[in-house]
Amino acid sequence: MRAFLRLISPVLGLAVAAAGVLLIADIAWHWAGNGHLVQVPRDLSWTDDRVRTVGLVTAVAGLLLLLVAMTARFRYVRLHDPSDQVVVTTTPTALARVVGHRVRAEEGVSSASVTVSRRKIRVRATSALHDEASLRPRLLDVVRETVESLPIAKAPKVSVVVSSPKDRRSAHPIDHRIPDQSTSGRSAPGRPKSSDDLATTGTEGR
Amino acid sequence: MIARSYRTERVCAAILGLIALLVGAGAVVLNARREDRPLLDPTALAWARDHLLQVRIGALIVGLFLVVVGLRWAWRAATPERHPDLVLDHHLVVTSSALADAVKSDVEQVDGVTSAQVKVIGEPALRMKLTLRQGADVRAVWRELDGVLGRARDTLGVSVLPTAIRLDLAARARQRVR
Repeated sequence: MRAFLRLISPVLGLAVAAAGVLLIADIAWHWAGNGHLVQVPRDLSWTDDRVRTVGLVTAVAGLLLLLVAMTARFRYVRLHDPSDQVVVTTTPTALARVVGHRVRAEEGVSSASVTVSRRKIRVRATSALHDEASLRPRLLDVVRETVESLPIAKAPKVSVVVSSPKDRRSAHPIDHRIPDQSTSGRSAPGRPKSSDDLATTGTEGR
Repeated sequence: MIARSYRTERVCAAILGLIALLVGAGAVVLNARREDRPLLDPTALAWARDHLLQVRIGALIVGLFLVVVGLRWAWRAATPERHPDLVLDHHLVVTSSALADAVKSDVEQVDGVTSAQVKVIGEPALRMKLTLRQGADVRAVWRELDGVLGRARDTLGVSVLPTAIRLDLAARARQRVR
């Protein structure tokens, strides 16, 4: 979206400038005693179909432009400023990488996927050795510790979900909430994002 | 590649989009309510005729504003970013690339930083991207950044050096295929 915004910006800018020139020329022409340059038919009424068509096209174009402007933003996680006039940021991808490395280094974790937004870090780990009850607290501690070791301005919340065949065998109620297939499916980059996932990324587990 | 901020473009596009959305939606609503009045409303036209001078001057100011904003927007989006040299004295100029290289080599000495990209974007202002190796102590790097920037400030003889830093954490080391 950033490239697209960069592409259409000169065109839009020139269009705005052209509208300004047209307005000035029209007023000047009218002031000089001539008619208007831009002629609007006097009998055109609000109920005319042309008004609806032009209105719809304008509204849709405006909405698209608004969406482009809102999605063309940098996704970043703000760190503390080391000194005045210095701004330090990192990307959600990088943060997810750090957390992912730490989680996968834990004993018993066979794979993990991490999703980071500005407000939340979600970790989904699979383990063949441990069940959720034993592994989850340990992973929560590890992730919290990792996040605290970084000078993040506003520490995001941490959530950890463990999926383990052990839980499935004992028919734990938590089991059907996190089926194995959806863990890898949800962390695919193209998955639909919820509105608060301003900055999202997924790192696939190994 | 360190990209510049697109804030100006985004704000301009958002404002233009919002105006277009409101005007278009307003026209559609008035159309749907079967408002049987001419588009050029006689009441509004009569008012404009009564205050002709003010309306004309107002419209000229709006037109001029649109021209200035539109041209600046287009110009900013179409031209590459400037990397100005730093003039310390009448006959002493530090080129932007020399300044960027000096800061780059200094910041690459910091333990944990594998590579750095530095750009001079103001007079003087810096934007840099630091790649940290996996397992690097981010807090230590972050503390040392202040020292690096302090040395840069001292060298340049300025009291403030606005800097935007992007940290790339735990980047995978590039491996060369032999």
